[in-house]
Amino acid sequence: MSQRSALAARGGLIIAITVGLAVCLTGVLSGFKFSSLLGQAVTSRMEVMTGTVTAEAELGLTLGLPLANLVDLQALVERQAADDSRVVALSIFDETGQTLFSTPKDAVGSVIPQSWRTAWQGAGTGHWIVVSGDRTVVGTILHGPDGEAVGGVALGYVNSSLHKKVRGVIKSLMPEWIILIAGSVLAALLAGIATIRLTVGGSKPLAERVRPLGLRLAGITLAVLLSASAITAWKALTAFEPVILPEVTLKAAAVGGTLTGEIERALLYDIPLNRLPGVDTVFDTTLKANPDIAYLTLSDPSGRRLAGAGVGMPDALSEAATGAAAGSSQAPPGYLVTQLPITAGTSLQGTLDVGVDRLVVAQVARDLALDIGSVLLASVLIAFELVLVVAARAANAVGTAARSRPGSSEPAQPTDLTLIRLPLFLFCLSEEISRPFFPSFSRSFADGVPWLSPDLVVSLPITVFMLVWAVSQPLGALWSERIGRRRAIIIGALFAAFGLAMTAIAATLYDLLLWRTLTALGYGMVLIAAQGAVIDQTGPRQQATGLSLVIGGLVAAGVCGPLIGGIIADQVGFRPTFLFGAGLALAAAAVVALVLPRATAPVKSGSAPSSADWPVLIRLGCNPRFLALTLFSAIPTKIAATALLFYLVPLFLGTAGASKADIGRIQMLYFLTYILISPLVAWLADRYAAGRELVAFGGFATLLAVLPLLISDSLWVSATAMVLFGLVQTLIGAPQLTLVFQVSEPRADGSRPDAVPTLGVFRLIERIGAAVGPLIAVILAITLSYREAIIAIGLLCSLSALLFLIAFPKAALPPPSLRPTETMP
Amino acid sequence: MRTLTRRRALGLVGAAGAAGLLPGAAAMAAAPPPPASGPSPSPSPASSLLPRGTQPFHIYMVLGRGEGENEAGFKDYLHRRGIPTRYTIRNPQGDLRQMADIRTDIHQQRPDLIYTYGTPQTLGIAGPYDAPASDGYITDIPVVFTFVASPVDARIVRALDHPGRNVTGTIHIAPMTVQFNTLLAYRKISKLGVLYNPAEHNSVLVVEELRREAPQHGVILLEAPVPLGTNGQPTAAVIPDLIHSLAKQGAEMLYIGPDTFVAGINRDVVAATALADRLPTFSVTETIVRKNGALFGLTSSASAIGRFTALKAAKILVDGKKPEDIPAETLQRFSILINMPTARALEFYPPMGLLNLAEVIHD
Repeated sequence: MSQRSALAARGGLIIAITVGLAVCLTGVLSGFKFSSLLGQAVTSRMEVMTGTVTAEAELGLTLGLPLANLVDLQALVERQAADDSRVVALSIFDETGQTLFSTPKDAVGSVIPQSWRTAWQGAGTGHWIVVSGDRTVVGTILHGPDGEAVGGVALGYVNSSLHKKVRGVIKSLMPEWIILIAGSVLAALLAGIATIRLTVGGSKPLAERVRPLGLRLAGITLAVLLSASAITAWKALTAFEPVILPEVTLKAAAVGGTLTGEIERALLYDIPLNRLPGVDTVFDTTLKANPDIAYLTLSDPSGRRLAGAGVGMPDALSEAATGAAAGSSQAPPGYLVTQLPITAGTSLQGTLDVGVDRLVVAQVARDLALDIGSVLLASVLIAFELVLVVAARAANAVGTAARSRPGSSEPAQPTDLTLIRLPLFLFCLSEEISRPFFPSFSRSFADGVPWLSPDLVVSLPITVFMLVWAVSQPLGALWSERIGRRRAIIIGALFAAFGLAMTAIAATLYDLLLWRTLTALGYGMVLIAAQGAVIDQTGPRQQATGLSLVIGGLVAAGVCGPLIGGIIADQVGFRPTFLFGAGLALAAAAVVALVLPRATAPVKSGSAPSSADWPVLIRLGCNPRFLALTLFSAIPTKIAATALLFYLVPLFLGTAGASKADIGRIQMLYFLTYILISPLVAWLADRYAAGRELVAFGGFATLLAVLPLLISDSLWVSATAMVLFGLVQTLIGAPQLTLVFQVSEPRADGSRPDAVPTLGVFRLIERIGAAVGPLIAVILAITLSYREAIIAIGLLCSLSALLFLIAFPKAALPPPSLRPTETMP
Repeated sequence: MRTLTRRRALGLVGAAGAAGLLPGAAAMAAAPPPPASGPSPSPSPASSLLPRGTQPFHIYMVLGRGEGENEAGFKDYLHRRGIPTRYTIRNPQGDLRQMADIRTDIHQQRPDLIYTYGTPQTLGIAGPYDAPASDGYITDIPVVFTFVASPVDARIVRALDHPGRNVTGTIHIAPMTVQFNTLLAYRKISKLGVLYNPAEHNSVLVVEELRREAPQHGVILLEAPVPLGTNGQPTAAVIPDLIHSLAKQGAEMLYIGPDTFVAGINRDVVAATALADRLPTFSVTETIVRKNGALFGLTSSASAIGRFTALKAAKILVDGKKPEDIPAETLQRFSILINMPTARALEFYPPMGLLNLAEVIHD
């Protein structure tokens, strides 16, 4: 059957492309992670050096001498820099920027560059860093005993050799990696085609085979991806290890050198090594500050253990028993040990062992595994959805082909819908990638507007976005009807791309607000035009399915966006990520321009869901059930959604020390839960006609969902809370919609012509709630902590749920004839 | 490495520290040397705002024991900042009867700033904050004090963070919490003995603070006030017995506060008896650690305090701030002194962590 072949080819291709992209992404992620680990190893070694110089200088300052008088610091910087060939310059400067001590010596007397000064002045934690080309400068601030900044330390080193090494490793991996990608693409293609051919055909009609087909293809995708990703990660690990391990060992030696210096000082004061107290404590502190070091031990010349801390220490008993001499202590398997002698004069007094776990490189494995896992998940989801759609299309095509001659060109129908999904996904991605860090990004503008509280500064862009988005929907619907959906989508995407690009270079809060407005305008236009395009093409029965395509794109972007955005932002920073988003929006516009047919004659079946006319509004205003639903359920739910998801949770996690990538992953969990649970909930609501109860329960449960946050700050607890929150929001979503339809006035014949406008008004009011959410979050965050604000919102939802139960009496409502599957976070 | 710096600095500070107790020329000779290498640092932005040919600020100093490290640090800081100054130095040598004369002189000369050393001298010039105007204290010229242990209890200022009058300054004694943290960092003890002169108001205040703070760190305080004779003055002869008794009661360390009788006049016998009884001593003044063999102490470097005081003076003279808005503060970092011969004699060695931060005295 040519239909089957066509479907097999198309489906196989989709799977193959998805797999190929995913493997590429895995490789890129691995490369990013390892190269940043390498960079970190070198930087932290340099920071050990600046730390030593800083401590020495501050001790002199504590004695009451001015910085310029501490002449021994000159010899100190010369000695320190000589220890490490990568160090190009090491200097100490005073608060006017004048260099006091330096190697090379001719820098003494010169003034530090402006970039150093700016970084030095802005260094909150006392550490600053300036990167220019292949030279990196790390530094500290020197404080006098009165707490005033009296100068700084600056260490310059070259990292070009580092970059070279990383490039070398990547180059060596390239050929194998390309083979791997090609192999997985081929494997996916063949397996996909085979599966489709096997699953489709035979006596059962195509429409019934869609779901099992989708599942099987998802399974194949997962299998191929898992193996490919595992191989990629493993290869990267083994390739980078020989490059990273020496750096980590060098750093361990640097830390060890500082410790031996301190111990030797004690010996200088004639304190016997075996009577020196507090060594374990110092070891513990050092290990905490240097998590890449596994253990530290101090032994006397006969090898007897005097002190030790950390995991993986060789067993002290066995050493004493064998009487092993110093210098021959065996490194436990899996560890690299650096041995440093402790001398007093010329005699050996003891040995310091610094142990590094060989798999320290694999410590990055946790992060990488999480990232890869998320990528896998997202890819499988996307593949699944795409294939479903392709198969559904094929089923339709089969159906209509049975009626018309095979091979005739099809008029519009679902052709456009699936083609909309990809660009829509890309477009929503452009916005979602900024979600994990947007609050922090906004906060950085707070300095420019000191008369506004920082919390307000953070919430304003979100609120503005929601408001403009809400307003642009009805306007966009009318406008896109006039100028054509395709054009509207392209223009909207261009607006958004421009807005995002300008956001990347925004300098003040006003800039940010302006560009957010533009982006929101574009965003609203694209979404409503896309929904309009779907509705134009479909009859009432397909409308829900069609809309779910559009919404599916949004939700899938909600899953992948924060994840990808968090990872990218951690690597390159916030602003370049916005540029990347602009690129995505442009790509979306390009895809739409290329694949969407120009003139789409609307097959009219009803106006766009969000346009509202007055008689409907008045009727709704007098409908107590509708009012109860919107006021006590829709609005609080949306407030909770935006306030928590976009504002309070990222900020709360940020203060608890989570990285942007972690925040992105946790936000992703929300959408993921949504996707997974939503069909189940819809079924529940219908089966038990329990819409009202579910909605109310959801309101109460919001409070329960956020309660875990009271217990602890840990990421796992927050992740759990987010999953619960997603669960709860899903519980509310579908039944809420069902209720919306049920409360619209029925005609005598049982039809509900008001259903669609009611939904439109409902959505509009919901969006107002979404816009108000961040504002409420700000008000709460001003007086309470983030954690308390989250709980307060939970309380709000519970209270509203109670009022809802009271105001929405339980009456037997007839099951709706039209069940919407359109749900949106 | 670090030893060299400390030995070097020790040479400077040690000599000056001792000289700080002696008036006059010896102390002057021990002033910090000019910068050894490189050009002198350019003046700071603040002073470069001063137009050329600005009249030097007139600073009137009222000292307690003659010029020492404090004053040297004070003068050097202002000099480095390029702030032109001229000084009038008065050294009443502790004779408070001269105060009225000095006040009259100040009223006549109208200096830009007054520098006072020590609580009696500060009270002699500025008086308590609620003194009536008729008493003739200086209330219209800014005063910066130094070497005042408890300005609030001495009624010099109302509150440390906001003096609320024309007087501010620096405090050389570390906050009690920091003292306890340092003490316990050396060894986690549970019984602390304190020997003090109940006739000195400062000492009584310190013991009150000790009483408040000790339970919070799980430490029991054993108090040994020196008994007062019929003339209301403490009797020195009883000191050894008091220390023996503290040791017998199980004191693991002896606390020596800023007590002139214990840490000043009789420091020799105090330190020697404690050593003989194998009782480690902790002090907040430096001489008894440097010279008399107390085990360790938490002090403010006199030079650092002098600079800090000058910083506040500069805020008043150059930045135009009012003393009532400048908090009276301690330093943020203190000097830990460890007398290594005593540590060896007691076989009571300092832990490595503390050693890294300390100035070690080893003779």
